[in-house]
Amino acid sequence: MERNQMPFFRKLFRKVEPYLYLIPAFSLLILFVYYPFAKNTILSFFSVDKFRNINKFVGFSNYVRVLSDGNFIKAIRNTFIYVFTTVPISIIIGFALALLARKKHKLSIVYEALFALSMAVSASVIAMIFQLAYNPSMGIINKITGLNTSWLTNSKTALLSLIIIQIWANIGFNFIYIFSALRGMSEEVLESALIDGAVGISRLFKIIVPLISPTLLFLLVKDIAYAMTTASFTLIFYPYTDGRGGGPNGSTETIMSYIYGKAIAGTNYNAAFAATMVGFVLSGIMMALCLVLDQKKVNYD
Amino acid sequence: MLPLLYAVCISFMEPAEILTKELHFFPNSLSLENYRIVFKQTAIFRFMLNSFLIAFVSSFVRIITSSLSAFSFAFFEYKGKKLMFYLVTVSLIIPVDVLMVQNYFTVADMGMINTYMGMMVVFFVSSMNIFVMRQNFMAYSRTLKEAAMIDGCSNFLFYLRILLPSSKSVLATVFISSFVGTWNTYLWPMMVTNKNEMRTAQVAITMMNVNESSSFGYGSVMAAAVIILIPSILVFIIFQKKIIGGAMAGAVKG
Repeated sequence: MERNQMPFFRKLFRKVEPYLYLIPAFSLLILFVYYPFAKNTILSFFSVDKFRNINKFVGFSNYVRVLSDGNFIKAIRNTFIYVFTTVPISIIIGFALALLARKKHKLSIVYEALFALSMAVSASVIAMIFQLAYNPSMGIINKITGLNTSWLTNSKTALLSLIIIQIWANIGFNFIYIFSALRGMSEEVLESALIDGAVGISRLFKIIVPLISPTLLFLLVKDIAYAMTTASFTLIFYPYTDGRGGGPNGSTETIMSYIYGKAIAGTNYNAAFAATMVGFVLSGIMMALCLVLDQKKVNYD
Repeated sequence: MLPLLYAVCISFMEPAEILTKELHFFPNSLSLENYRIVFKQTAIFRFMLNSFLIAFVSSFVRIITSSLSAFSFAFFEYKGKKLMFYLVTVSLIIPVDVLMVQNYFTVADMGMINTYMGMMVVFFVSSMNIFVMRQNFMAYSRTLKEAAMIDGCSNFLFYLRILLPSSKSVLATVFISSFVGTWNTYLWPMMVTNKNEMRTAQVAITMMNVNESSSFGYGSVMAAAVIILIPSILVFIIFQKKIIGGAMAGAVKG
């Protein structure tokens, strides 16, 4: 069929066709990702009432108000503690376990299955199991250590307890990825390194780490993004009732749980929207740092 | 793995044993009492059904949305394609959890609180899945599509009759990972439901309060946990095999 004999609609359809296929995914993306993002950004500069009607433009005063809220600062602090403990520790432990598993070839299948299993467990189930484990009188942790600590209700130990849970939860995923990355390392590179005299610890850092650095970066980014925006454990263990929550003395309040407390448990939308944007910016900064790391240290050959 | 073992052991212990101060790792005697209590006192099947429904439907819809858009990205050239793909990439960077609050308002305004649709709709698209599918489609041989076009096959029919059936492995992977992810999700279903019978298994289990009078103790909570874990663990075991066994049957060589 010659081009100029094609009916008009056919031609139009051909042009429009690829866009049509994008419509389902994009209408959803716009509705649930871009639109809320834009809405939140814009609304954070206005003062909103209980029914989310706009009152007036207030510039940055929402931000000023929320950043002077001691509880929010605490939430930010808690979130960063959370990130800087759970992420490195769970990656290092995952790495160590993967190295160990690599040596024992026969058992490695068992290890893989076991760790893969921990990936199938949801946050709520993990939370319930650890809630029992942390129970001062019945839980296994106090039984084994002989201590009497109220892990989850003591403001000094609450955050630590959550950190431990998160580390455990991350290890499985990290292990699987690092383990398969280790398996993918080319034998030739390793052998030539041995010839060059690289053994033991120096081999570890100079050869193995750079070889799997893309995987490590991926895990870093994923774990940081998750930890910066999580509130699951806080909300599960310390649900907001009567507008109060966030753990013993606010010690387990994260950025996200603060936002939840303001917007869903309460109706302070001004604080919630401003806090959300602050959360975005902080996450963005962490991601940008990861990108810098990618440029400088990650090895893609 | 240890905490899982712990949960299983506790679930089989009798309440008296759990309450003692001594350390018992394995139950002295296997008792199904906790499980009986769970089935009698909680609507656990309803909760599991809710979870299953949203997981299944969301994963299914996700396959459609991600494969259609990946099809567009991989097989067509058009103006603005780069921009559109860029938008997908950017959406990957935006941490979705932070948008939850706004999405809650959107869904509430549409009257979808306490509905299945409300729980599922945010999961209908995943930028990650679009990425993976696009990657997969781009490795697909062009000559096959050209051959089909010469034979008079339309683009859409190519997608439906040829591309999809031979991408079963990737589709399965996307489905399974979406299923497990949606089954396990907590925050969103918690936010959009306040009626007990609409709650998913994950949300319901966090609300199971230990009630001494009705003998619903920690053992029962652990029993419920084990019950909820079974589907995802089953799926995972099958998943491992799928990855090893799946491979695209080369329809065009060279």
